[in-house]
Amino acid sequence: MESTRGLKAIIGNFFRKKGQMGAQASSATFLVTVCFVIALACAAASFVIWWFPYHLFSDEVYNVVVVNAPESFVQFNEDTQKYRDMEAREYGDRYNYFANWEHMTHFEYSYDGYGWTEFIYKETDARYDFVTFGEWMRDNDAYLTVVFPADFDEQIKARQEGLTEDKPEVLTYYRTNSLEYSDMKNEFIDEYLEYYQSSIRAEYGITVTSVSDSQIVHDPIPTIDEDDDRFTIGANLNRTFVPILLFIVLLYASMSTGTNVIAGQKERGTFTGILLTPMPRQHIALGYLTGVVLKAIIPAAVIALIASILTFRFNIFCFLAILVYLLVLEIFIASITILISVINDTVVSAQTAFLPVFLILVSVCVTCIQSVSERSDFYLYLPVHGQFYGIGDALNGSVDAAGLAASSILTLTLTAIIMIITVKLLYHERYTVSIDTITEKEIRESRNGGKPSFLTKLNKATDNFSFVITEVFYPLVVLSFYQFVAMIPVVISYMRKAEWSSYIQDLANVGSVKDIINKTFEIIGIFFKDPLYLTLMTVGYIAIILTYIFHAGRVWKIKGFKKKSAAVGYPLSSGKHIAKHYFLGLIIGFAMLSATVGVMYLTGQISFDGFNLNSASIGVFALNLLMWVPQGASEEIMFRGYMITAFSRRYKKAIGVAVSAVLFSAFHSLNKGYTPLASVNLALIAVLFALIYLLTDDIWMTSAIHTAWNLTQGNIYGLQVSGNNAANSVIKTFYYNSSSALITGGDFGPEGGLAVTAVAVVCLVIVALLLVRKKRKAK
Amino acid sequence: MRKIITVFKWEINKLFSSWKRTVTLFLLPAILLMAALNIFPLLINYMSTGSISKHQVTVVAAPASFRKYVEENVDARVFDYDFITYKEFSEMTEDRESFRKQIRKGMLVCYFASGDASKDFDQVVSEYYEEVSAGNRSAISDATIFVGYDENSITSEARAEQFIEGILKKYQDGLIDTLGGDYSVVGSSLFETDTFNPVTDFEDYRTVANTAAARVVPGVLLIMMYYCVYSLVSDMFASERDRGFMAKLLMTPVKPKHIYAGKILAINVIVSAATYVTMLLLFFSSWINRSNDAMSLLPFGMMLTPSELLIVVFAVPVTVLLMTAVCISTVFQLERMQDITVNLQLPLIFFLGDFFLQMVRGTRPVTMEYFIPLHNTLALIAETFMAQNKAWHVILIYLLNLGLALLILRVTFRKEERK
Amino acid sequence: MIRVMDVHKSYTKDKETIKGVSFEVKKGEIFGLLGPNGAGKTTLMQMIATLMKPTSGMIVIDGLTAEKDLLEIHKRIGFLTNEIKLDPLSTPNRLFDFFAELYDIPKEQLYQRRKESFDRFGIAPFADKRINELSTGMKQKISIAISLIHNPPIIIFDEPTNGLDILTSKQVTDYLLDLKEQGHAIILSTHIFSVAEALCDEIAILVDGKIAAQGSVKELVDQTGAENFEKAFFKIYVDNHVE
Repeated sequence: MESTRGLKAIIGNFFRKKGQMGAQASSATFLVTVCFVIALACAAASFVIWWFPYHLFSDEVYNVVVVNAPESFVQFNEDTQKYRDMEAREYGDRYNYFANWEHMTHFEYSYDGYGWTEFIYKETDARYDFVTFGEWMRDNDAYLTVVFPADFDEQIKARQEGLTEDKPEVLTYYRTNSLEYSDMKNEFIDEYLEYYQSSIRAEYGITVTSVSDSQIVHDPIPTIDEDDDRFTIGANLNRTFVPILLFIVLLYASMSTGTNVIAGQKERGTFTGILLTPMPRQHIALGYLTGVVLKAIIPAAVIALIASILTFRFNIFCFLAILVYLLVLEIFIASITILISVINDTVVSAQTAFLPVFLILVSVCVTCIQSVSERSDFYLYLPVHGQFYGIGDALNGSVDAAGLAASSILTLTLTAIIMIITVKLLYHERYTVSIDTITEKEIRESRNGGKPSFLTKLNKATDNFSFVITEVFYPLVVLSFYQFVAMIPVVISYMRKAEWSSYIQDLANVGSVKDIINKTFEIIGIFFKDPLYLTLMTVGYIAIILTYIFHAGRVWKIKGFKKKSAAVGYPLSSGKHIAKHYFLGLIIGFAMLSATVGVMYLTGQISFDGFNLNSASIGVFALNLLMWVPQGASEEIMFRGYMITAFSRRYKKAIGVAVSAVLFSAFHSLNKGYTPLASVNLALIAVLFALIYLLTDDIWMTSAIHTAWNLTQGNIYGLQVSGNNAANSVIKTFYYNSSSALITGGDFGPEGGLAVTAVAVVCLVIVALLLVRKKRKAK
Repeated sequence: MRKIITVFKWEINKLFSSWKRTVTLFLLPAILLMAALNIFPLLINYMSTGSISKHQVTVVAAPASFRKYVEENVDARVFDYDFITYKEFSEMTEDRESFRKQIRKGMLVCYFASGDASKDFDQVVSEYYEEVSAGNRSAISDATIFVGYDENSITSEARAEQFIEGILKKYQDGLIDTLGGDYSVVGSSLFETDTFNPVTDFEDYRTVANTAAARVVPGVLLIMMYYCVYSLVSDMFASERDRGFMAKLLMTPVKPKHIYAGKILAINVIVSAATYVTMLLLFFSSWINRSNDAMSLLPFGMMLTPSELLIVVFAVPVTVLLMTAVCISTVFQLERMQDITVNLQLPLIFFLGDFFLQMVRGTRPVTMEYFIPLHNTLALIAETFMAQNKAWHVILIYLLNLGLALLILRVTFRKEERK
Repeated sequence: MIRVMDVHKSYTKDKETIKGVSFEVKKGEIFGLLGPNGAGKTTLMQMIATLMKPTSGMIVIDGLTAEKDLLEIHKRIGFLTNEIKLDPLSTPNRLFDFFAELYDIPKEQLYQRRKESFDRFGIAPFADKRINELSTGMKQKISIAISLIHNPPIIIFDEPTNGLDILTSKQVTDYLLDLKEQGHAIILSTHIFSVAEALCDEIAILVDGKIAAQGSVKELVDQTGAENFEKAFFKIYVDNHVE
């Protein structure tokens, strides 16, 4: 080969001094190094340190809040008080750790705080009111709240007398501001409450305080013979720390030289000079590879030598094996750095790209740290794993020749593949002069306007997909976000109420999705009578509407509010126009629902039972009315004003209407008493609203219809609104026992029944005719 | 001030001009870390047992009560059960080597012994209760459950512990109710504690998860922060100086101080944001991980209280500033690009070491450690996850790091001006 | 020695940078590529130097093509760009040695070659200084010396006198004329008229990736009927440039 001289020159160039010798260290790096050395020393010291780290403690608390304490427990606490006093005397001043030095050197958290625990007694019926419990714990320096049922003693008595099988349940809550309290809680339950139980038993004359029906025995099975391996610290270090150190040294050295060579030359512009020499490109790549390998292997070899001498049983054969492992590994790592160096144009990007490789290889090392017995033999034959284990074994004086050969061959094969790729890339303009170009074939294809490439198709498909997903999930996310936010204060306010406990207790029995939905609506039903909830929801719905209006402009600015508002179907042009549409909508909505009720009344499903409203509930009623206005409007803006516009801008209008109908139906179907007919009806109503939107060109009217529909349904006739039970109604309506759920919709409300289907179909026909007429007129 | 913002905007725009760069910086490391944390336990499992599915428990001579318990209890399904008889088991153990091999692969053995070959485990237990309720106070039960695991493997031991604590203990506690007969009313516990208490369950999950997180998360965040700072500083300072763009910037009638401040601000905002994204992903990955395997790095339920979260959130930019100061000082002090990269990469190795140290370390930090810049952030985040944070630690660490960062920057820029 | 046949080059799908260029450069001839910035001179030069492949068309150098005999071509060409690109931490001597080995120059000849080219450009006193301590002109001279280290029969210079002072320019142009005398084929791109006028035997004017006119200085002036070469160039440019 005539050009081996060039190869040698490239390798030689790695070892030629350039300017100053070696790398320079900056003072900041030096400082950081010093810091970490001290940190390491501190960490090591923390294992053997003998003084008490007093600063780490001092704000721990030991008291216990007892809620609804039964007399027996109060009595028990009084009985134990003298033991606590004794212990506290022994330990002396609570916060003066130096006063009781001998105890403090082995200080641990203890559930009774060395006798300092005091019991604070409180009463409440709300067993799950963790907010209040938290306040009590804070106010009283307590770490734990123990909640007894109000009639604890009676329940125990009843069970002992055989009247009931049920056991009373004690609840505990602990402070969140130290994880230690978790252990203290467990100790309190396991020890203190256990003693308490024994004391109750003693009262009832049961002398057996503990039974032991069976025992569990740990049975460690030795899986290796003792003389098989000496579990000395040194041998373990040889298997873990030393190989990791060698890996890191190799990786680090390869990274700093390897990424610098080609990428660095490209950055400085000197790479073309080398490319233009009559050197085959494989020689260029090979030259750099060898250079990197030689440069990185030297420090690693030195460390390996020191490590193998430190084992005190230096064996030249084993050391040579280590060198072979290191060399193969380094060739592999170097080939990766060269590949990355070829792909990248600058040193920084090359190093950035190499970092994940670095981290991955180090992680692999960490996963390799396991005992000899646990690892499977085949790891010895794999690349990277093989070298890791091989080095560890060789340091401990055993070399698996087959493993060495197999892992080396595999690794070198991988390296060869990487190098072939590297050389191929070196013939590519993108990686030599860093310019993206295209081939003649691609031009011909694009000129023919022929079939779009797979990538363009894929892009288009993902584009459509992401559009649909975004548009579909946007309403869901917005709605859930605001409803969730509005719910928080309400839930917290309910947390403190006693009757709430039973609802939480019920949650324990919830199993199926249906249960969850039923329970949720039961709870929401309660909320609907709550002024706070109604007010917050009103605000929430208004927030949804504003979110949509601003979202239409994609920029959150007040400027151009009118325009944005018009874009989602609320033109703010003329007040008269708005009033006309809205008022008309209210009437239509009222009429539509009245027609439905009429159908049900005429078919003999329901009857009226006078007026329901009284002066006490008038306030809530008014709030309820107020809430329906933004509620209807927000749903209209979501499904009609925003969604149909968004979809028809991209696809056909019909698709927008269809998608919004399906989503509207799906959104409302997740309610109590669902029937398939409900979905159909809701879709029909959605189409109807969409057509009205197209007819009037704004959603003022549909918003009004929506509002009027819900309002009339819930608060005038007192029927369920899509499963929601509105609470305050003008007229009291009741279903006959003989009523057919097919017509009335049963639990779901009228939307689940045929009555609505009939009304919706009639309205649809009318609106469709009007729409056709309008189109004709326009022509 | 306006000039600072101009430079800041320029740098941010530069970063966002290419989506590839944005993704590389913001998401890639975070996703890689999350994947690594989730795959890590799987890997460990796979390497020690050769499978990533459920762990096998060979149950020898299982009594009917245990079979029923396993069937009815959702928690028990964490393991895979293989029910065999005494005879099959003795056949299995005949070949000592192959039995050992199976144990080495992570198999647990759960052996029900009744102490009397003619009687079943269940029988022995119910007989015991009969005697007890008949008033025999000295009754003894020979019923024993042996749990066999690999003596030489920590993983196997941890898994056995998980099996005993999570399943066998509960089964044992229930025995009095299922087999206790008359005695079950008098003898079993008088009351129950927290059978259904979502709040405390939540807190218990948090305890386990945060203890694990305190070992893993601080190191991950620090590596992540330093990695981003390092790549941004080499790009915004070192490379720009190398390409001569910095000289052009300094020719403009803007004070160099302001240019640097703008860049530092940009670095801080970007890196903090990337770190928060990582934190968020770590949080999600903890809440997705329901397996709660013995080796999980982030078990189910990681949670911080708002005040703890704030401490971590504010610790990030402070530390990033200190890291930036260290990197910038290196860049200004050295000339050759390769020297700079080597010097900038070195701390990354330290952070990696610190990360592993934190993983294996069980002790609380000594007071001195709060005075070591950079390392103290790790200590702070770790103790915040343990909810053991002290106000004076927070104040000390913030002020120390901030002060040191400003000092380094001041000295560096003074020197640069004098040049 | 260099034959460029209907060469096209595109970087993106919708725009062609070089739109079908053909010319030939003979032995002992200096061929000039003249054109405004962005006309495609550098792209064309890089393609001739085999750093890029043409999208279509063919470039034959001394009867060889880049696809088949890349390394043979490399032995025959010397390429120099207008940007000065040398490893900043190396020294002229070391660079010279390094490239001499890469070009496989016999050791016996090395001393002679170095002395010649270092003397010619006055590099000798700076031979052991670091590149980044040298002046721009000196760096360019070292670049030239290194590019021509193997005494290639074909020399490709992309704007060789760009950014140099008059004295250094003169040295470079003199050297080029010498090389021409020795029978090298030289192709150089420039946008400086005086250089083109003084050096080139044949000039191709490149406008928007096409050769708008070709011929000797005299021929071009005659063709357009302009007073001098500069005016002729403008005329050709205006006639052929499409906005």
